[in-house]
Amino acid sequence: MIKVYLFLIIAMSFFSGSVYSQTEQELGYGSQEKLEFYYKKLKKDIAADDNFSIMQYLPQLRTLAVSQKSNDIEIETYLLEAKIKRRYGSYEQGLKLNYQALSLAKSYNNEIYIAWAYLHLANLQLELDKFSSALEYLQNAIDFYEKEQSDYTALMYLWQSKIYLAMGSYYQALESSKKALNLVNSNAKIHFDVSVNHATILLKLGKDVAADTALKNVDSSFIDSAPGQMKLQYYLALANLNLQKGNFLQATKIAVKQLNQNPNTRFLEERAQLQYLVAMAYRQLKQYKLAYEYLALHTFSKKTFNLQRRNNKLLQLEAHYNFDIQSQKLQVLSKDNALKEQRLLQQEQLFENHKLEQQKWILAVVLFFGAMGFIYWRWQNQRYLVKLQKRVDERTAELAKSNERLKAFSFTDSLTRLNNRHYLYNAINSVLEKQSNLVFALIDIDHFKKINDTYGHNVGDQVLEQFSSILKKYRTSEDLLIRWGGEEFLFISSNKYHDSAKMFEQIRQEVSAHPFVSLSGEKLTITCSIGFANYPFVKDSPQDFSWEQVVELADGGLYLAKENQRNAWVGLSANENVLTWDKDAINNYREYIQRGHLIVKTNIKTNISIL
Amino acid sequence: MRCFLCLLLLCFNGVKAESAFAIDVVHSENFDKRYLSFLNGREVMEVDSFYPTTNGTHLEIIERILLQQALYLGGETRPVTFRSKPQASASEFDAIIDGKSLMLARTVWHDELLDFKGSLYISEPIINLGEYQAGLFVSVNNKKETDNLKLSDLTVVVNPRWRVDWLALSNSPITMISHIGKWEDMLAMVDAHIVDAMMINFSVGEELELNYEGKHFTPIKNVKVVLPDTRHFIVSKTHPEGKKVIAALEKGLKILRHRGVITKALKQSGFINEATSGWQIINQQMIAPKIND
Repeated sequence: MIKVYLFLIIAMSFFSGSVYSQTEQELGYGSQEKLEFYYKKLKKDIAADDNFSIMQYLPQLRTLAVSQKSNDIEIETYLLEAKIKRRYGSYEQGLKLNYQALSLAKSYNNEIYIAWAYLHLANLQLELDKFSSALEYLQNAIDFYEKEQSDYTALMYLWQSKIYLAMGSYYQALESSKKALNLVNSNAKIHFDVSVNHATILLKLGKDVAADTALKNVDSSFIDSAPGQMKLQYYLALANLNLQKGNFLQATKIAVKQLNQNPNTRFLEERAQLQYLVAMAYRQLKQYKLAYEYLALHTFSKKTFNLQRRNNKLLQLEAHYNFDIQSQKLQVLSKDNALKEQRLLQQEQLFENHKLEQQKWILAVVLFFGAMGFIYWRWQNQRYLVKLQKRVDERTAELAKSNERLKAFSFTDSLTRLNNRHYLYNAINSVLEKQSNLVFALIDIDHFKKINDTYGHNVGDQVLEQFSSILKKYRTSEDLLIRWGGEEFLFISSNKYHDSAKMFEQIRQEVSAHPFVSLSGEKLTITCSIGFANYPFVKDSPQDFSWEQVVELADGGLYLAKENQRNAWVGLSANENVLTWDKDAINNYREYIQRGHLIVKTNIKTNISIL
Repeated sequence: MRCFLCLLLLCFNGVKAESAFAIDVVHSENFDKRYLSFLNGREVMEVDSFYPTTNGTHLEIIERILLQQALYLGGETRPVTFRSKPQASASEFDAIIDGKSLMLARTVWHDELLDFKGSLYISEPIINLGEYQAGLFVSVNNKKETDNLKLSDLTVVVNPRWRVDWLALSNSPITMISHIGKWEDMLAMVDAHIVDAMMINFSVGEELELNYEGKHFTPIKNVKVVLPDTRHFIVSKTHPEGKKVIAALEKGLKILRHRGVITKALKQSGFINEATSGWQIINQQMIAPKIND
């Protein structure tokens, strides 16, 4: 990185170089090369103190620095331009450019250049006799370099010392100068400046011996190459030293030489001091005429200097005034902005509040509708549930009905509309609980197979239908009539045994007398046989025979009726004298009849064959 | 004229009857009447109490006595005459530079002598650095207003030709109003409320107040200014007797300093004012630089 510390350039030439045409030739270079070229040229012009030449290409250098993003050079161009403009009394411009440099350095967060920008601002304030501001600005630069303890720290203390010197606070100036003197190391220019400044302060305190030592410490080989103003300050101190020592001739010689070497218009302050010094020396040499001449010259220089100073002060006032106005405007603007911002914030706040309020309302509405929706949904749901429940109930009822029907269907014989065997098994327990005495009778159509075979099943079915209708007539509400299978029917009568026998006789007679008709109109004679037994079979020990066994006994009776005659009925009942019964009585009923344990009741007139 | 004769008589009585040598007194600063009143019949060499007998500053009276005592103690026992001279030339001590006069009867700021160090012998300081302190005097009838002012808002009239005063106030927070004119005019400016205050040596009275031609002034309490320089007697290097006189003067001053007479004189006369010893010096940094490192 190219580095130039332009602030060290105290002397500035009035002569512009003719290098601008050379610049044009170099414009064919790339940006980086151009930057290098201008930069080298800048260094050369600074060394030659050629301000006017510098001002010609400074804007290009700045543009290049911006395009190359060389922030350091960009800031330096502002500092240098400010310094040149200040040198020629353009304080307002200088002030603006210096602030711009500071602002840039701050925006780039470049601490080194922030410090340098403060140093330049301190110089500016010193030029305008604004010592307090100068010290404040410089303190920023000191704070930055204090830790470093380098030549640059010495430079900062040197400038602090110069400000104190200008303020006439010589002991403070001496203190700062001592710090600078202790810190300065390798930089010949800073060392020279520090030593001369130190000697100047000592001379202000009348300490000529110490001042002599300080001036002897100056690197004599550097004197000739020192910048103009710095060199002049050295010779001023040297001449002053000689004056204080009483070496009046030597003092005049040194001072007059410097006065002759420098143009009349440059470094007016130093020039006036030299003239006064010469006047004082001549006055003490009692060369009053010469003393008068130099005093007159001094007065002229001082007048010019004061005029420039006053003008500069006016400019300074104007600059500050303008700056203040700008600052005030900025303040007003910033206040206005702040107000606007505040208003904006308030509006935003209001808007936010409004938005929040809206959101609250929306939320409330959403919640309300949500709640309503939920309630509605619940209501609908409830309604649907009720409906569903109703439907379920209906369906259940339907299903129950259907089941009932199915049950009924499954319990009913479709042809005769009588309950079937399945129904009996389902209902028998309740019947047995209700009725203590029953008669189980099996009624079978005689030769039914023959009818089917002869007339067909349709006729057989018609016969069964008509037959069942006859049976139904004899059934009371307490009786059960079951289609037991095929052409066989189970009649469970609640009548007593003897009454039942009568009823079966009536049935037999009615059946045999009933005019059954075939499909073709042919009259059919149908008879039936009936076997029956009572339940409980043994009155004193009902548990001896189940109702199924009683049915088997009835079936035995049926067999007997069929075997002996048909169109007959046979009832079997237990001999009351038999006290104990074996289970095999059912299967061996014929044997039991023979033994007289079972009593046969029948309409068969003949002796009934049992075997 | 009568005073001058009295002084001559006094001098002749006070020292050995040898040929007298003259010490210049600038005409505007002739204060023989107050000087004689202070002596009140005492021999100069007898004076060992410097308490004031009149109002106003006593520094010039004390210095004149100390000068004579030092010369005498240094071996310059010839009678002294004080010669009133008009200030005709640019510098107060032109004649001394040229050797036409031997010395001044009062001390001079060191700062004023820098360019003439080659032509003048400068004595050891009578007033050391930091000893010269002054108050900011306001008009009593304006005191209420000035009491409420911040130092930075206080306007103080100062003559830019009084370089040390100017530098002292330049390095303080007050606002300076420059005026090149007579001391009395500056005081009148304070009285007329054109400015708030003026820097004046502390008065010897208990209240430290100053009465001048019926006008009443009082220092702002707890505030004082140090004049950051030393004051010295000067003797001509080109005067034939210069070398001898400065040798005697330095020798005598050394004795007086050693005996504590100088400090006593400054304190008793009220120049080093004990009543203000605790007051804040508003430009203290000029004589005791803040050490930052």
